[in-house]
Amino acid sequence: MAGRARAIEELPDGLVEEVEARVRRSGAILASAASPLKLARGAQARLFDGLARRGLERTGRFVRVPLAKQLEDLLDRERIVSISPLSALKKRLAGAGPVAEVKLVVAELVSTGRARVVVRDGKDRLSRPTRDVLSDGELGVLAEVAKELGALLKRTRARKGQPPRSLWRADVADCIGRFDVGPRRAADSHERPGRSGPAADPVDTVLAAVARLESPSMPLVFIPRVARALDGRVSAATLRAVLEQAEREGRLELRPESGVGLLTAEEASLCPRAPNGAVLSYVRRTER
Amino acid sequence: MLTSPFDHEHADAWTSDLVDVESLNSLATSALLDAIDLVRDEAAGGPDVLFARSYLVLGPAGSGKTHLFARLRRRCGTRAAFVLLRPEIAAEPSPRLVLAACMDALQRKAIGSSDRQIDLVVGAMHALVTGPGLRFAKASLDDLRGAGVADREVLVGAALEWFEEAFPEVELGWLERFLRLPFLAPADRRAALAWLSGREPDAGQLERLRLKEPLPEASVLPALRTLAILAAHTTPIVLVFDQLENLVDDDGGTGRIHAHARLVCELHDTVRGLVLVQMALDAEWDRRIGPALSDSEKSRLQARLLPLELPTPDQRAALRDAWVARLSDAERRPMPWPFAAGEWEAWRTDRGVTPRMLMIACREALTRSGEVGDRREAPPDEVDDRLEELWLGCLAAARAEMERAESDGRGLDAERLASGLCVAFRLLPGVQVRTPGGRGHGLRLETGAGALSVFVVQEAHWRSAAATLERAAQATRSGPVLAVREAARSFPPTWRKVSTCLESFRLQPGAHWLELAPAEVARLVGLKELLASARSQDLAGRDGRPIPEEVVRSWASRALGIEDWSSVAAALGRALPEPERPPRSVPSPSPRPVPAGVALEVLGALRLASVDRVVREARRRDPELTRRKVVDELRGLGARVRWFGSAIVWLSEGT
Repeated sequence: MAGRARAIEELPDGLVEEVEARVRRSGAILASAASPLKLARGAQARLFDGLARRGLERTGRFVRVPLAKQLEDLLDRERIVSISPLSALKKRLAGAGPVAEVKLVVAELVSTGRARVVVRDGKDRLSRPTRDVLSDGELGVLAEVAKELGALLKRTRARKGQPPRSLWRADVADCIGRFDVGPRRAADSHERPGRSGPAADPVDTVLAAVARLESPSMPLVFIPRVARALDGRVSAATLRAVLEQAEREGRLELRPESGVGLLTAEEASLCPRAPNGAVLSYVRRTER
Repeated sequence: MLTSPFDHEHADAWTSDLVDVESLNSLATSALLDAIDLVRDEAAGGPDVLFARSYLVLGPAGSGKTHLFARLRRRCGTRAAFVLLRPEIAAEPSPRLVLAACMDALQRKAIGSSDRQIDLVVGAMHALVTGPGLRFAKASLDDLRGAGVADREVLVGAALEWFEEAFPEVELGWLERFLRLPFLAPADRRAALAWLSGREPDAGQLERLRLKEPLPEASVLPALRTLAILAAHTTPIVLVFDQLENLVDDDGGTGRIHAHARLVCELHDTVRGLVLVQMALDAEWDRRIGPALSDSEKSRLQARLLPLELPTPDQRAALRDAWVARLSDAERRPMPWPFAAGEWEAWRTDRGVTPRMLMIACREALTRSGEVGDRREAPPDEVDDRLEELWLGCLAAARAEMERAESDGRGLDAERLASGLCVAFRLLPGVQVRTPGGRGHGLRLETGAGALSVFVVQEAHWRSAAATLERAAQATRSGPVLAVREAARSFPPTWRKVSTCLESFRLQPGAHWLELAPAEVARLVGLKELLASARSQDLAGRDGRPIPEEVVRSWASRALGIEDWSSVAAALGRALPEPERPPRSVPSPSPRPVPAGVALEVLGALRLASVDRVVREARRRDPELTRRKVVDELRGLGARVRWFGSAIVWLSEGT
């Protein structure tokens, strides 16, 4: 009578690498079928531990390439990916769990500045924050232009007993021209509010950036991350001043750095200070 | 002498005497209180509606994480059981550690009750099953204590049947022993507690329990499930994982972060009725721990995030009032005392002020009274003095922990000892310490000159102690081995098998056996706490700001003479165990000669005494004396006073 195959106690050399390669090839494999050999519990635990150390995730059913990495690879391949509905995106990510998990991944990529949600054809899509995507500052200028054009057009509406009105072409061109739809220029100035035209209020710009970087699972925002999101549109000195002003107005709370040797000198230079010299590196919005 | 309510900058997690401003962090408080109430309500609905809940509390150092724990504990009284778990350096978090911590926490008396929580849980269960209802837990417990053995057995049988039907996943063998716990004689109770908490009972205890083995590994999680379900009806278990920033290894490794995440996910998914609370420094979580987690882990660990708020100007005023209210009428002064007006306004409105910073500022203002609000950088010798004070505090806490273990009839958990050894070895220059894990709680020290294996042989049962010694003897084939055990738990002579194994181990080349004296154990545990607190930025200087971890590590390397500690010296192969060595004085970072005075008089009378005793006696003669002054005076006496560790002094004059 043939005996049952005995489970292997020791993890064979090279097995972790082999399984890792399979996972990376297909994005995810069933955890139960991860090993071609029958492993004892301890060996199996060491296998999954080895895979985790190599940056792979284990869920209840799968061993997979982290969803964030899969999504980033997808963005790099396709430039723009539909996220509406999220269930469609879920099908494109190997070993993805419920839609809520995919939603969390999207939120994380957006909050860390690795992706932006873009509206195209009336639908939400995800893209890398390349120059094809308007920045917050550009959106602000566009809103100003739209508001001004709207006001101009309103004046041309037909009114009873009055002759129909039109606009002076150069005025319209000047208004539209304030928004440069071409590729964004490289950062060449310390502060770039948009070409000419009235600059957006720096307090609003900063608070909008803070709000965008928040996520339901992390309402605290690292100030150097805010600076990166603003992409040079607000200088470090202005950013610090704006944050301090907003704190005085009770719109946000500045929190002392609590990392152990995490803060670089460059990051510290972007953060306001407490009067006792402590670096205030996190911000939490107190008004919603 | 003015007694200051500003001396408690580190909240005592277990105190019921708490200065509290309820509006501060009220959102986090009510969220957690609601979760506790919800668990209790759900438990009544049966297994289909009972779930675990997970919360993440983040805040900067001194924002009140431990205070929140103490506040919740006080607010809940007997309505919840709070378990505080802090990461061990040399061991990955595991269900067994959680079970032991839960049982230890339930052994505490609930605030407002003379009974231990564990007994009240049992009383409530019997009240639930027999009819009077959960509110009559205490009465039911008293009834059961007064009942005869046969009647009690009938009730235990009824409770087991009820649970088996309502919650099929309970571990009946474990539950049966748990339900009998309050009615056992003290020795039987200690034995049952050791087994129920997943620790290893000794041979005598196993005999009392009529068992041959400790709780098997496969039964630990079911036991935890059973305990959580039991407690959910009356006193839901709030499992608080504190100081999670200590999960980050010195080399930046994420192994223990993943182990913690796996444990919390498992508890979240499979143990009904737990309230899981994780507490960490916000920056460490955001930039070190969070990024290491997978999305499935994040969805459980970060399910509900509760950021701690910094106090508003009004709350700061309320905090100052609450502290000042603790002083006697004669000591109390009106606002803005102890500050000058301008200084108080600055502290009231400055940005980024935590409750701890404010408390320390109050204390400094109180003691300096004329130089209030001086927020200069503390000079180095002041930092050293402060660290010395903090170190003494850690030593005292370690001794208290050892006493608690002793009163439970057991030694310190091996993980605690291994963690202490690990942090001590890591302070040595050029030494790499690895924690391979597994049984035996071993460490591996690597230097340029070679490697050394360290085994902690802390087992309570002769069989497992012998097995560990055999493994240690085998390990000598691949290099030198140091095996250690608490001297207070030295092997009884009746453990013949262990004696043989120990002898055989000692005969191996490169083998070194060391029994750790209580003072050494206290130092190791205290050092682990000191460095863990430094990582958590819980060690504040006199200016109220956290003392950086590297400053603490550098001070510890310099001032504590770690290389001369018996375990470290043995590892370095330079010295014999402590009991055989002459007493050494603790090197002081900056000894300042102080003229002989009261302390010398006291010590002259006592000859050999603890520093605490000398301080106490000296204060009786001169109430104005501070501990620091007494210690300085003793240090100033130089060779006339010999120090045993940093807690015992001996006047060697004329002897």
